[in-house]
Amino acid sequence: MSTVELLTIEQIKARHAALLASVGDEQAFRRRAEDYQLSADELATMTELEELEWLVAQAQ
Amino acid sequence: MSDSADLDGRLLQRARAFADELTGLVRGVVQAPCDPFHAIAVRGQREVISIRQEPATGISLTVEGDPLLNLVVTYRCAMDTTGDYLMVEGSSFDIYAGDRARGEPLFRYDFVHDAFPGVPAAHIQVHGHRDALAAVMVRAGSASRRGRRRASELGRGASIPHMSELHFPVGGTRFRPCLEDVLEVLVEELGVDRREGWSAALREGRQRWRHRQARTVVRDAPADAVDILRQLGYEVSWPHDSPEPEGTPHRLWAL
Repeated sequence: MSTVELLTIEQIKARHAALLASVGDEQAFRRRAEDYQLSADELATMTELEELEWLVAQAQ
Repeated sequence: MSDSADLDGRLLQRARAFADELTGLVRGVVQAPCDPFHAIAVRGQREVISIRQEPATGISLTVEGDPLLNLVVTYRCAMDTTGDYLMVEGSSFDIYAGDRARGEPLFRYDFVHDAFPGVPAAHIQVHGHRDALAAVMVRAGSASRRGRRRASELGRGASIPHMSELHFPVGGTRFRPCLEDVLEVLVEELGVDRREGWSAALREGRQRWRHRQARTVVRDAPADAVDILRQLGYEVSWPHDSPEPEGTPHRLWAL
């Protein structure tokens, strides 16, 4: 059975903020993402950040 | 149950059903273990869902037991205005070399419903250098016909595989790209000299093509067409004593 979470926009924003805090320098992190220089864990974090950003942008 | 709880329940049910479908598909095809997909649903001004594979570092794919490739899948969905259907607004299927997704993918299949002007809504991007692609092609093992042929050719001293040996599916018989799509790549991406009115000519040609294909697809799946027409308010019936036509279902599953 797949896992499904139903979150509020506030919960998503909080999760996004926590993830962002874990990456250090955000601009440097995003630059490295654009240059395809992220490690496996970093790439997973980047993907999650992008998905959370999309959810907030679409839902509010 | 309140209206809000009803809506939450429906959204969760749709998200779980689609995530389960994706999990079942991958588990039904690849031998490597696949954890259940994960969905996050939000109900704000719109009801939207993001679904991706687990683990977050991608699904490790093995070739003859070795973790050689990695698949990262993301779907972005929204409930339609009727609240009955889940619409896919974007998807990406990224293939990486190695056991975990990192760096740059080898290639990716992307779909963006509201793509930037000039970018095809659905497209394939090959990121990998030919050497990176050749490296995984050489290790394609012997389980598939192409893998065996490639191994045999390499055993006879053939040079490394060419990227031309990769065949990327693009929608099968009915949903394949049309000449207009290729002309647009030539003009937009490669700067081929264009005539005034080129864009309208491509739009008209593509529309003509897709109308033809839509009519053909109805013949492939008439029951689906009837179902949708009834939902739109049409009255559709089969007035004959003979069974209703089944269409040509193989066209819908053929590669």
